[in-house]
Amino acid sequence: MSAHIRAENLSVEFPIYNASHRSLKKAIISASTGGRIASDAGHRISVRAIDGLNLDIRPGDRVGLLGHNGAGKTTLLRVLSGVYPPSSGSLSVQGRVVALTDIALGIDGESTGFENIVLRGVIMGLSPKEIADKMDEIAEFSELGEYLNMPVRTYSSGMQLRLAFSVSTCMTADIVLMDEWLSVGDAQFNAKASQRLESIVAKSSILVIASHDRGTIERLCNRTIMLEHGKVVEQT
Amino acid sequence: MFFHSMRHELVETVRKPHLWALLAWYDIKQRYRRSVLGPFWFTISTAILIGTLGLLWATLFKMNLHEYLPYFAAGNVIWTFIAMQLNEATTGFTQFESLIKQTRLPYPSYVLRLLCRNFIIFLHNFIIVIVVVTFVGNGWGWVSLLAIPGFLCLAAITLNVSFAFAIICTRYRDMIPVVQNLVTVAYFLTPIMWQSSTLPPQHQWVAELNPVSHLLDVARMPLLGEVPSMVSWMTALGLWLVSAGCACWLFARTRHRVAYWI
Repeated sequence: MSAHIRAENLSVEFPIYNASHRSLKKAIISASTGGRIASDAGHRISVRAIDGLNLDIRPGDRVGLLGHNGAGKTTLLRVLSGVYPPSSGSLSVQGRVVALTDIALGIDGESTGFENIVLRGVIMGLSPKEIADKMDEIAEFSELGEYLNMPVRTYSSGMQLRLAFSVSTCMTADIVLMDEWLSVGDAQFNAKASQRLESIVAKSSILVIASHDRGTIERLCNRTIMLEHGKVVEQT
Repeated sequence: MFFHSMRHELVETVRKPHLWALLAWYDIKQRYRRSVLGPFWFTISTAILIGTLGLLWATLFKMNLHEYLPYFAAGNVIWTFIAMQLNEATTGFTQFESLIKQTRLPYPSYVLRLLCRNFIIFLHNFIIVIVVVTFVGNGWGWVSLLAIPGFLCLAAITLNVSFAFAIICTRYRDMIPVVQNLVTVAYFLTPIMWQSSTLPPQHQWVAELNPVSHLLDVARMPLLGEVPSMVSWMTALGLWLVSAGCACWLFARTRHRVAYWI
């Protein structure tokens, strides 16, 4: 089946808990007293991060998400990657998703470079066998050589990013989610990284990228969605 | 699509052991780094505790050391496994906040990762039981093998209960100290340091009605060369069914909300 993302009237609401909402004691008291004594436990505040969103993304679509800080771009990416199930409305995502939102996720400073390739790969959903198959290619791409036998905490931040990038982009997917275009390392490595990123995007069926940079979006995307306070204000 | 049903999520957890077994192994490797002994430090402190308390109690209450020390060592090592798992489960999801907020891995895998970690530590500590049973106790026999199914049953129940605790403690943060205190109280109310045979007849019920005591017995008694009673086995199986039922019911109701609670 071909990849698609479809959402109907999708909303995501974050409950804001304070100490009393976190308390089982308060919850029980408020239930047994009809909420009179512990009235503070009742009025729960919630923030609607995404409000009644309708989406129909088909194969070949390159979607750019635009909007101010807090408009709901990152939340939408997380919803699409399955982290937050919709509070209401429906969502259907078909196809293998790879989220390049936090490429350093799962990386552990005490472990060596090689171990971190496994750790990061497992978190991305690869099996140990798939990782073993790609190990050489990842190691070579990272250009870290002998350093891969050293703990990652001894790396410079640029080297850490190179490692994270090399693993995170080792596989192609039907749907690629990105939070800003990734830029890593020095000029020479960055050129190579950009090339790899473009080839992943080219091989993917759907791209959803959030960015503040109009130029990036104009260059990559054939559709844009402008979000404001969790609502779509403009869609092409 | 991500885990359309609870069943799907449970099946995926089982099908991807690298998400918990491998990650738990890396966690343990981490503890060996910059320390030659690693988790064996924990074994040493457990051994010291068992050695001193065992001797002290045996002397104070004039108990037979050959009988008491293996009993206390086996009980304490098994209990440490249960207690550590339950205590860590109170932060079973919150300690993986960065993962849960960024990617959708099956939730049971987080608690299984803790269980595997604690099982590896248990194997370290088990050396104490081997030494004590071999040199102080009755030695080993075919009956000892019964400890394996007994321990598996105990571990499965511990997993179910700790999974439920992980969910509850993520939603209600005031439950964390409650659970930790319950675990401490259970240690004293369960025959681990003391033997149920030393209780006066009118207080025997403390041990007999305590399900944890039966649960412990199915894993502990074979190590001491005895066959666990039918009552203990039935209690353990019953506990397994009830705890699995409760954990599944809770998970089915909350699995769409856990990420929001972190």
